[in-house]
Amino acid sequence: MIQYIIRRTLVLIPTLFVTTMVIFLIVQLAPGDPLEIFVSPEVKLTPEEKARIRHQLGLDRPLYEQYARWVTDFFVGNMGTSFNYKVPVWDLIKTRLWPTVQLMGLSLLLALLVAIPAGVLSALRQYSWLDNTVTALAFFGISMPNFWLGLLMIFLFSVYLGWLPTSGMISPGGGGLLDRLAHLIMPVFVLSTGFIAGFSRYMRSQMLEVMHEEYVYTARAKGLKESIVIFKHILRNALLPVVTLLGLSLPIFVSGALITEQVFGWPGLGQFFWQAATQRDYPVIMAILTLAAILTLLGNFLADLAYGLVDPRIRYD
Amino acid sequence: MAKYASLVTREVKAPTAELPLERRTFFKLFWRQLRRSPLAMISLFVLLLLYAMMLAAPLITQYVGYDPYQVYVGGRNEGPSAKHWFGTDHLGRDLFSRVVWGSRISLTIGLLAASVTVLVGALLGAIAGYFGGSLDNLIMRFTDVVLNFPFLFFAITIVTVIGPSFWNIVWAIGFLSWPGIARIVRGNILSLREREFILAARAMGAGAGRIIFQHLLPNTMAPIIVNATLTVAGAILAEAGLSYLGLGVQPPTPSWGNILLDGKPYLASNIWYTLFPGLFIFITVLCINFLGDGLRDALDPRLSTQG
Amino acid sequence: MRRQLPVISLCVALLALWGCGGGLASNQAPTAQFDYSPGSPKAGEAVTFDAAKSTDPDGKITQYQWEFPDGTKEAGAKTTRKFDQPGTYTVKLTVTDDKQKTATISKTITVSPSVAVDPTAEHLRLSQGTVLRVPTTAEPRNLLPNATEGTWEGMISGLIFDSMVGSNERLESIPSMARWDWDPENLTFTFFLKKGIKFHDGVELTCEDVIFSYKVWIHPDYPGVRFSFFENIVGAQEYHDRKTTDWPIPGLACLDKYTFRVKLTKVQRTFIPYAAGSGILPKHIYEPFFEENGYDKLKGADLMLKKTIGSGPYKLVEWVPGQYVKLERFNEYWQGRAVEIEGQTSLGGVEQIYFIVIPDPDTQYAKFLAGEVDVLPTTVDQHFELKQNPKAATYTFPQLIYDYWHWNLRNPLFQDTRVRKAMCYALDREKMIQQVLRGLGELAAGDTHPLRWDFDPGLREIHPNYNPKKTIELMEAAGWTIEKDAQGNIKPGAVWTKTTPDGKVLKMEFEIATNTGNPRRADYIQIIQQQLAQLGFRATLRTLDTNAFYNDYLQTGKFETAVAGWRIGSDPDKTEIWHSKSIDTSFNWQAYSNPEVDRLIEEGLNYVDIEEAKPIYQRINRLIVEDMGYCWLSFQQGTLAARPELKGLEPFHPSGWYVNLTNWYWQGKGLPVTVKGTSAR
Repeated sequence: MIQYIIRRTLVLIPTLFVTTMVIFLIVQLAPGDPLEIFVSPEVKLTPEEKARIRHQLGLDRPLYEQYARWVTDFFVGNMGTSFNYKVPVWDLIKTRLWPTVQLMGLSLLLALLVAIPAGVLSALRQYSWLDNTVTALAFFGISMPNFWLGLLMIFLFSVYLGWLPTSGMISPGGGGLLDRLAHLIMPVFVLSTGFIAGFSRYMRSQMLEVMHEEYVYTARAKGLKESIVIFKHILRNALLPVVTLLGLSLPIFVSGALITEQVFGWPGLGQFFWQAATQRDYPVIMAILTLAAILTLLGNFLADLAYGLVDPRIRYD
Repeated sequence: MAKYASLVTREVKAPTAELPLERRTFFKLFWRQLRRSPLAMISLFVLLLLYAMMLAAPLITQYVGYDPYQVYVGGRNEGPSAKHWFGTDHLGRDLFSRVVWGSRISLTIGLLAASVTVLVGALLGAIAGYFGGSLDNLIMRFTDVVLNFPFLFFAITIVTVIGPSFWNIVWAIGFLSWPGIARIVRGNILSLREREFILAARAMGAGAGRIIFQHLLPNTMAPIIVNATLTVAGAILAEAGLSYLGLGVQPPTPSWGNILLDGKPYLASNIWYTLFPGLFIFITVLCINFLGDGLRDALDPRLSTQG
Repeated sequence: MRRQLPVISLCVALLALWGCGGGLASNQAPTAQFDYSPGSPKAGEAVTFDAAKSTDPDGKITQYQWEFPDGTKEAGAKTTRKFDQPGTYTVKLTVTDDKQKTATISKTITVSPSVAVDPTAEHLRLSQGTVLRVPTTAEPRNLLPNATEGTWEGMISGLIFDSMVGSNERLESIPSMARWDWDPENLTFTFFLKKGIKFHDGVELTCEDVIFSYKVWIHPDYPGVRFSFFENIVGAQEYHDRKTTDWPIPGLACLDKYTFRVKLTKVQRTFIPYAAGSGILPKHIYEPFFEENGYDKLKGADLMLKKTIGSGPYKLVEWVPGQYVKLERFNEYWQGRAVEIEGQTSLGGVEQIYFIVIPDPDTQYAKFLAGEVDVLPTTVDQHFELKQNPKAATYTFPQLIYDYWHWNLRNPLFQDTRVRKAMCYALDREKMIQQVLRGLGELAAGDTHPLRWDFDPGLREIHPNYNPKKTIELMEAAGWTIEKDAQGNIKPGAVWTKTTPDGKVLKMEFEIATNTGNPRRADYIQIIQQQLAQLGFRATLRTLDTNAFYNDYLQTGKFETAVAGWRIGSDPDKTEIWHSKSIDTSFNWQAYSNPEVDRLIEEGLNYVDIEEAKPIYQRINRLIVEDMGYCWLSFQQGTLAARPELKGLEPFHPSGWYVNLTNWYWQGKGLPVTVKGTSAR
């Protein structure tokens, strides 16, 4: 096990290296230009000016050199300076990280709290009206794009009923804990619908699989209490795909949710990334993508380890 | 075979894999299993209807008398009426004919992207999970790299350099959405390959291909089918997201996704605009899922006659 | 030309002294005195000056002479005068008695900005303790003048940093913090700054601050987008290119604390609106930082957070990243009258402004409906919906943005002017305005706007208007053929074709591109495609990410045809778009080239006086329309919604609805200064 962990960790580094290289290439080769953010015809950049700015930003160097410089800087903790804001990238990301973590953490939590019981219940009562309702609701959740559901909720709860604030994280002028919570309700709900759908479907199907395993029949045959059979024997073994999904979900803590953040004016990293992307603010783009990549690798690594804990049959060799 | 119905309820305590009295062909059996689930049958029927609608789209719109591209036949943003069954959009186009035509893009993309995803993802996941070791490592690290592909920039590159075409969209969605299923299948197979029946098969000298295709994959059908159905919905909506970036099908071609996107500004004033395409996506996804459930039950290897 | 204020005051002092001295002899000097009404005049209001209170102890006053700051003189005991611009003015009265003794008095009159609707007193009372909440689509990143990039940044920056020169509703430059003289012989502008203008920290704004601001924009580290405004100052290019480090450069000088002189290398009319229209930075705040850390850090938001200090009507007090920017009224703003109300000094305009970041336009709309923002730039559809809503007041105003469709002239399909004209004749632009803008727009023709001084109403006549017959005529004249039915109509689905001399067959098939994120243009291209199809042109559509569209598609000349738009500046210079030297280097994406246009563009730059420049620009516009450089589509009217209690919004300035924001006020009740809780309604 320990050996496995060490081996996996060692593999992580070259993987990360290759990943960042691929990201760097795609980002840089995509058409568009960080210069000339479009203003108006009275504002121009002569070709000489352009060349000079390119030089200042280091964009005139060959790609491999730019990458080498970026990668060495990044791994000593220097993410560079934003082209647009002219401040260190990390200072910018810092201010956006917490809102995203808050939003994503709560959404995932809510999703797990709803999806696991929903998945278990619909599996236990397969093809009952309860099961079919849960299924329909889950699919309603993913069939509706987040912008649609989000706006619908805004019109219902903010405009017509006036219960909740439409957007943002706090009211202008600041507000207390209640104010912050009120701002969280709708975006968390909207985001969790997507997760709930996935989690509950996997949960349900895996439950159904496990329920037909010999050891479950054996457990029942032994006369164990039904609740023990369900929780100790079935549920534990059915959690496997959910663990994988959770591992896959880790990077959203830095990549955020572009559309939901956009609709709810949530000052998170998703929105911030979108802004940086449209302006081709390469240092910001690279920093966010790389952080997300690190979390993806980490998440998958943790999921691999968790397989072993959830399912003792899995060997690490 | 009557036992099937009782198997799915939790009262059943009987062991599985009873040998059937007679041998049937796989498809006959499969069909018979499927027929037992009314929900799956209804779903199949609805889906067939939807695909029929897709194929007959030109005929249908001709019959209705509205060209989905013709702007300002009616007023803008009208609600449903006898003339315009689903109302009209902001350019006064007939929404019914647009939704019907939109199915061509959405249903095809949904299905194709899901197929690509499942084929590539399941296969790679299974290979990685079964062989393990450095092959597993190699495939999974490749998966990690693809998982971290900057989709946005990838999309922008494709649209500007290669051009936005239907096949590019399918390819892009398919290429970038398989890693999830690959990881899930691999996770399951890591566990399955240690099971007795696999060990037995291996002891009997079965080759890797046979074990993967005959034993491992059928046993991971559950997450694969769930993933496939989720991918269909995801792909239909991803196409809308791509339209937003300019990679989706280009205007004026309708798709359910881009009708939803076009109707967004009118959510408060004209709910019909987005309601119908939304409903069609919902129905499609739901039916695919119910059918998937039925398929899974029908394909369950524990019911297989090949034993 | 107006005379210099300090000089006037000096004369007044001398005259008074001399007058008194003289009076000690035989004849006693008269006493000069005058009143004016109304006591607190507003811009554009007639002010009556009355010298009835002037007296002479031993005779009578025979002559009254008034001197006004613009240098004009008037006689008579009573006179009236209008001051078009807010600000302080010194009026001098000289009285002469029957024995030729004179006396003089000067009074300073403060003219406050005009308010469209309300009496000043109430306006001020109502602005007490009120907030205004404005939605913005993006977070501002840089607020320094000449570093801003988006509309929102420019808007907020404009409230914080005031400039020497402003513009009126015809986009003509008018004095703001300074008035100016132009000496054409020496190519010299002299700016006379008003005295007593204060920065937000209370320090007076002087010529040194102006020189420092120019240093920032001419500095080699300034990454350039607006360096072109300053490039003609003597020595600027050398300093920018690091050929010299001597500062100030020879072209810039402070003649005294309030007099700033600029010497140019050649005539540049745009110097006044663009260069002199730039906001002024306080030297004492930014210089140490600039010298130590350079331009990039100066631009950096960390500085902005703590020290965004200008001389404008509002000061920055809070910036919550990604959420909002809060401004507070600067009560010692030079332009605007300080008045005592209930023991508090107050000015026009609301006390606090929140710019709240709401990226999604539909959420903005919901936010307005929910009462969480007070104004909303609306879409056309929202405008008509809100018209029915008693909780909203809707406004329309002219907007200086036009959309156009243009062809890549490198492409052999589009090189014939007749072909381009034919395509433009195929478009029913009036119908497009009716259908997409719901009538809230007008036809565009030529690179100008009816509000700008170079507008020529005749352009609309020569610009092609929908006429399918002309399309067919012109195409046939240009040697193209198409399948027709028995009645001579174009067969449905037929496409124009032409065989070139070398035997190649050309087909009228091309692509129309535009950027994503602009629903109006997306609608336009769909309608254009359809209208063209009816007359034998087969177009496919492509929408691209905005950055890629401009930088990779238009700029590189990869496009075939494209729909885009321009915001019209206050100056009609056309070098960047229409001069052939701008092909591949600037915004002449389509590769338009006409030697006469080139010549006229260069000639036009030589005139500072707009009356002299006008015929040249009208001629250029005529030529580019006749050459069918673009097919001009439309100007869209701006639409804005606001709470009905919010007053003073009109008249709108053509540069943007927010320009006159300092005049806005709440009627009856404003919102309390502190907005607490979630429901502020």
